Amino acid sequence: MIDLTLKIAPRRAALLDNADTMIEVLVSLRAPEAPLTQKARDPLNLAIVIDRSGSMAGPPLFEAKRCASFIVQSLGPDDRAAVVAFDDSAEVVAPGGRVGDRNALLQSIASIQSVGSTALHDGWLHGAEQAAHAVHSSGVSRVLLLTDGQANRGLTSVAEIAAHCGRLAEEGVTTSTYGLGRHFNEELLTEMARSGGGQSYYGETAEDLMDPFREEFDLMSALFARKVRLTVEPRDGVGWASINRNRIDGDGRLILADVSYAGEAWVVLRVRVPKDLAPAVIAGDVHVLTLHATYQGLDGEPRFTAPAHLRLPRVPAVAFAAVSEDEGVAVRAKELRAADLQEEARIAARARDWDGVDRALVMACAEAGDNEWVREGLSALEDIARMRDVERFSKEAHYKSAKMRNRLSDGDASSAYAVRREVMKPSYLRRKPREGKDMTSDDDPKAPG
Amino acid sequence: MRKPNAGEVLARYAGFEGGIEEFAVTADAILAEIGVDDETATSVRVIRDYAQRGIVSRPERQGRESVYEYRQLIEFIAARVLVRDGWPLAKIAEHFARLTLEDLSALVPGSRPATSALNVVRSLMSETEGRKALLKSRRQAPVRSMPPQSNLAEPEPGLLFGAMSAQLSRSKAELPSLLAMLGADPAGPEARDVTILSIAPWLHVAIDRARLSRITQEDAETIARTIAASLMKTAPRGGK
Repeated sequence: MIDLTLKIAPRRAALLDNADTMIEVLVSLRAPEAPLTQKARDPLNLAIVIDRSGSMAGPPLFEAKRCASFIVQSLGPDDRAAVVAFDDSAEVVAPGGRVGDRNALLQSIASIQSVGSTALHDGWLHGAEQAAHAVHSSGVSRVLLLTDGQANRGLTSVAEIAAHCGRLAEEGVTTSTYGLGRHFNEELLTEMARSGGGQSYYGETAEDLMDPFREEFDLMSALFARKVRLTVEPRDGVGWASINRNRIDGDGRLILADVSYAGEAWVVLRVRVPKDLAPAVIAGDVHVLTLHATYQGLDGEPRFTAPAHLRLPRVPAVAFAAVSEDEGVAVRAKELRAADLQEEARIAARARDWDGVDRALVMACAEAGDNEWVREGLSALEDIARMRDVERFSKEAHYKSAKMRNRLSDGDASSAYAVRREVMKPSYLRRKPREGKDMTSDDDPKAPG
Repeated sequence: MRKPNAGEVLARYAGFEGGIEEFAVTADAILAEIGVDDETATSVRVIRDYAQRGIVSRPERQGRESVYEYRQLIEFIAARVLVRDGWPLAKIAEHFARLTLEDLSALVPGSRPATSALNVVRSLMSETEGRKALLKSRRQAPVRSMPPQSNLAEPEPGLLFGAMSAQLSRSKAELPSLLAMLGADPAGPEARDVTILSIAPWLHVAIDRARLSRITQEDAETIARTIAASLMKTAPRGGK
C-alpha cells in the first residue's frame, strides 16, 4: 500500500549567521491518486441530527429535510444511518441500522415537524449514541448536526460541548456541523467540528447547504487517511508553533485534517532557531527539527510516515537576504495571516467597531498579495461590512478563516484562482468564493440575506 | 451466582424454532429474565398483531403449522423494549424491515458489549442528567441560594473536570514549544514579582521595558497563546 508522503519546505532555505532566525516551514502530507480500480469503501455509519425548533419552521426545515434526504439517497444499502430530531429535547426518529431500501429513513425524515426551543447538546448526544453502537475502526462513524439556532436548552457552554465532541472523536465518532442562516452560534458549531474531527459548514439560506452536504459525502467516500497526527521533534532550544492553530493532542502532537485521495493536509510552522544552535556533522548544515506523522489507514490499522528533517545552512545577513523565497510556502503563510486578520475583523464587527473591521480588512488585503482566492473572499467581506450586517459578516469571516486554516489542498501552490477551474476538482478540494453560498452562486452580497 | 446479561440470555435461544404457543412462552421467559417489565403476558393474539403490522416478520409455513425462528423472537423482544420506551407500534414497524439481526439485538439493553464510544456517550449522558437534576434542585431551593443574575447554564465546576483536564493536558503539551518560540526556557514559565502593565484591576502583565518597544504583532500573538497555556498550567482549577 502506498503511504502518505511527508514533505517539509522552508520559506527561505537558510539561517542567519550570528543571530536568531525566525522561519516559516510548510509541512505537507500528501495522499496518492485514487487507484483506477478502487475497492469498495467500508460502510459509513452516520447519525443525521436535525434541529426542528420553532425557528426552523417553514423553508429552513423543508430544506434541512431535503439535505438529510439527499444524504440518505446517497448511501448504499449496507451503510448505516440514524435520524435524530431535537427541540426542547431529542427524539430518535429512526434508530441506527442498515440503510436498506431507504424508504423507512426517508419517511422518518419527511415526518419531522417544527416545535419548541433548541436542546442542541441533547440532540447531538442522542445522535452520537446511535452512531456509537456500531463504531468500526475501518469505517467512518459521524454525527451530522444541522441547526439554525443557539444552544439554549440543557448544556450550552461552547468549551464543554466541544470537549464532549473531542472525547467522542477519540473513540471513533466524529462530528460535522451545518449552520443555517444568520442566528446560529458560529463559534459553537466550528468548535464542535474542530474538536470533533469533522467538517464545519454554513449556508446563508437553506439552499446553500446542499453543496456542503455533497462535499462532506464525497469526502467521506474518498478518505485515504484518518486520525492524522504530526510529531515535531525540535533540537534543544528550537521553538515552534503552528500558524494554522491546530489542536494538540495529549501527547503533544498536532492534529491534522483527515486526508482524501489526491488531497494534501498541510500546516505552516513558525520556527525560531537560536543563533547558538550548533551545526550537525553532516555537510555543516544545522539540523533544526525532525517530523514524523502517524495516521489510520483504510483498513483501520495505524501507519507511520518516514521522518522528514529540516537542515539548513547558516549564511551571513547579505547572503540570507539574497536567498529566494519558496513561493508555495509564502502563499500559504500569507493565506494564514489573512485568516488571522479576518478573525480580528470578525471580533471587531461583533463589537460594532466598523473602523476596526475596515483596518483589519485592508491589512488582510495587503497580506493576500496576488492570491486571487483570498482577495475574492475579502472583497465579499468588504461588501458585507459596508452594509454593517454583523451576523452575516461574522459568519462569513469566521468560516472563511477556519477554511483557510483547515482546508485540504490539491497541492496547487499558485496564486491564480478561477471558479471554472475549481468546479473541475473533487468537491472537497474546491475553494469557494464565499463559504455561505453555493459554489457557483452569483448572488450579490449586498442583497439581503 | 452471576446473573446472565441480556446477550447471554438471547444466545441461549439462537437455534429457536417453534409454533406460536411455544413462541409466546419463550418470549415471556426471555422478557422476564432480561428484566423488561412487561405487565401483559405475551399472547398469541399480540404476536399475530405484530406479524400483521410487519413488526414480526412472517413465519415459515411447514404444512399447516407456522414455524417461528430466532429472528422473529428477537424482533418481538426488541419491539417490546421499544414499546416500553414509548415508541408507537407504527413507527417500530417502519424501521424493523431494514434492521439486521445484529441491529435488532442491539436494541435490547445489555445484549452485547458496549463499544468504548458508547461508554463515553453514556458517561456524558449521565453527567448531563446529573447536571439537570442539580439545576432542578437549585431552582426548587430557597431564593437565597440563587443570585438574581446567575446563569443556570453555567457549568458546575466538578462536572467540568473531565473537559478541563483534557484541555490542560493539551496546553501542557504545547507549552514547551511556545516558550521556546519566545526564546524562553522550555521548562518555564518562571514566576517573578514584577508588575508593569495593568490591563484590568485584577490583571497585570509583567514585561521587560527594554523589550516592550520591540514586540511585533507576531510576538504579541505568541505571547497571548503562551499566557493562555501558562494560565492553564499554573491555575488548572481556575475560574471559580
